[in-house]
Amino acid sequence: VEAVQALFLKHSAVLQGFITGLVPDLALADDVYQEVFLAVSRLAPKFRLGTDFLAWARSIAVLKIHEGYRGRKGVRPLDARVIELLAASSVETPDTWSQRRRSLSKCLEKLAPRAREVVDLRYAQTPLSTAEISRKLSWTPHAVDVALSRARRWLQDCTRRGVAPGAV
Amino acid sequence: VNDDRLFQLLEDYVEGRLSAADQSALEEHLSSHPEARVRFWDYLHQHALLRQLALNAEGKALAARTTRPRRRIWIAAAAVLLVIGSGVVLWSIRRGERPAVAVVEKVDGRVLRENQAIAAGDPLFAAEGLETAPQARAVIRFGDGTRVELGPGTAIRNLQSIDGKHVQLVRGTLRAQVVKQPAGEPMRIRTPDGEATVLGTTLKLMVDGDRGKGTRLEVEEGKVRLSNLAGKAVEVPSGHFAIAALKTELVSKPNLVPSLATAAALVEKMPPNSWLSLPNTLMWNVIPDRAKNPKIQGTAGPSTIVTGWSGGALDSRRHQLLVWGGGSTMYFGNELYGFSLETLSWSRLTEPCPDPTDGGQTNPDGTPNARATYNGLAYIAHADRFFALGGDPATTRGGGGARLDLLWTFDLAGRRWSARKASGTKPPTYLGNTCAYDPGSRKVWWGEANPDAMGLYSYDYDSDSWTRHNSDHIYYQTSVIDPRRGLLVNVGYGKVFAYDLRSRNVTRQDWTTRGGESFVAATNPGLDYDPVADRIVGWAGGGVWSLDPATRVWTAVSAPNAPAPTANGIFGRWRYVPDLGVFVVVTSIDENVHIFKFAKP
Repeated sequence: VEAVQALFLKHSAVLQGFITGLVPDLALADDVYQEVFLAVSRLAPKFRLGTDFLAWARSIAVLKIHEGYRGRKGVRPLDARVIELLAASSVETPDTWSQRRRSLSKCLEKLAPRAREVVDLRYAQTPLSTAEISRKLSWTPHAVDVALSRARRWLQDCTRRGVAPGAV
Repeated sequence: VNDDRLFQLLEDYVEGRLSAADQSALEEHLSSHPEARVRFWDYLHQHALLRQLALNAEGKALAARTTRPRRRIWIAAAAVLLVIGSGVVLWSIRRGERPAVAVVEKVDGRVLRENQAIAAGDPLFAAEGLETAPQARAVIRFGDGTRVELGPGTAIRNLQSIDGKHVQLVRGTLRAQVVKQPAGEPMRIRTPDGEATVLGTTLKLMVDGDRGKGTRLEVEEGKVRLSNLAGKAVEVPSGHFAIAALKTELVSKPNLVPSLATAAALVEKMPPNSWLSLPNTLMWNVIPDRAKNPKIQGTAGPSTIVTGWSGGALDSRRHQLLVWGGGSTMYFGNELYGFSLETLSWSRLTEPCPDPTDGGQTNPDGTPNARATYNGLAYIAHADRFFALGGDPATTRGGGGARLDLLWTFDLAGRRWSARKASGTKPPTYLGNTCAYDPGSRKVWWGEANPDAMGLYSYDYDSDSWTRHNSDHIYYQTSVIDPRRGLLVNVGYGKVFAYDLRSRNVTRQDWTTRGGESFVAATNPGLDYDPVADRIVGWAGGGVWSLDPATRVWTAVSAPNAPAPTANGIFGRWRYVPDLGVFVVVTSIDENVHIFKFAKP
């Protein structure tokens, strides 16, 4: 069990990324992530060390994602077949995740201060909704959405190119 | 759906505002276009990473805010604690919004997380902390194997594992075994008085309740950088300590253990690369009375406890070299001996079984039969147990090689032997086995020479289980652990080879070393690792040899006054004593114990 928990911790960032991709609601994603940890610990004796841990953990995560959505009324998940396709196309590893993180960190430093402020509020410990950010910054909700969207797009371009194309 | 449209759909998906029609369009596009799924992950991974980076930044900011002790802040904190104690939650942080960074490995007593009791196996999330009650202890483990032990009355805060591990020690004692960290991402341990930066080592940090006494750092292995609030820093090497406190100079000093003061004074006077015969330290002085123990004398008597293919291990907690041996037709006494580096004297830790079994594994009194122990002895430091397996049992029939596959451990605190009922694939045992305890994996690594099932095995004391890793031939060698590199290195009988204990597949690496041919050719040489010099240092008589694990070059040091070597091998009676920085060796019951002060060439 300890060895499997150690593997979980080693791959925790990648797994959290995987779960957040399929469950973009951050609070629900965190709940699912914890359920995955508990399930991995419980099923650890069935895991054969030396085989693909991430593939095994992702399969557990997909089950927990479906369970998580079943417990939330009013939230419509992606179609189960699409989730399976997306899960099969996820090839992230701890190394590639570290590269992504370094690249995104550098790009964040180059983000314009006002855009950075919106991003920070959206992804904070207690993430703020568009309405809450608009109240806090005295912006219109539309302006917040546009700023967030432009910031995320700029960050995508920045990390793809490896250089900053210019501040937003 | 072009790229802009896909981006907008993903934006709406993340923000939870997809209409039913748009969701169908997104699902259709993702189903039929593999490149769209790549784009999906690119975008969603960024979404997840923005969250992880934000949490990490907040954790660091929190640590920075709470590191500097100011009277007003402490008064405010005390007020906050009072309010929390009265049941009002001022600040509720949902654990689930942070990534798990470690697991609670062990809990002994009352240990709290945010005022809630925790148990072994619980995950710990980013920015969380723990508090141990005055009599409690806890151990946490990070994903890379780094272990942090919390002593009684200890509080830590703000665990993080992104951009390197971070932990804040608020009060109490913390001992960390830190595996090698990635370049540029050292582990950082903050205290109210400063910060320890660790790349991979074993250390102990203590924050005194009396704030004037500051933070004490003790380094057991490797090197740690300690900085104080004034911005000054010092490198603290193995066996040294430093204190970060207001109005105290930040310097590194040798960490002298008070109980070792007598020995330390002797060592201090020794020149580098010199021998010292410790006066009045004949083991003969504590041998049982022969007249009162006629049934244990065998054909050769107690001198064969040392000379009869037998070894020892260092009890690092009590600073004593444990010696156990005899067996075959030579000697039937199964008493265990300890030479204390604290008192510089011998003790008989157990009495011999007066009427021992003839060739069996267990005596009538439930203790193990005497045996020629070879290199089948080790000290399991984390469990404080002496490990004994294999060898040649005491028997009037002679012949050698009868199996001793019952694993025994000796409880050094209770002075009691126990036979373990280990599970898994056990080594059958034979003559010429070898083993070493690895503090990193917390296992004894066993080289099995029995042709029926030779190979490398490992024994996990905590789960009482064996694992067989391969079928390599390992015979008449001595094993040593290089904890810095995570290697098990075997030397002797003309061979040097190693195993990377951190790798998933423990496969043999044959080493071609330069120099030291005569030492490598020896059977059962004395061998141990010196963490200060970062050398494997061995002795089999004559000069002392050291192997640089990085260059694989042997270097000899000749020093006068060396004792005469034991004819059949030194085995585990040559051990490094970390708290003294010397090697200790026992070569005969009629010869003083010797110590050797090694200096890196």
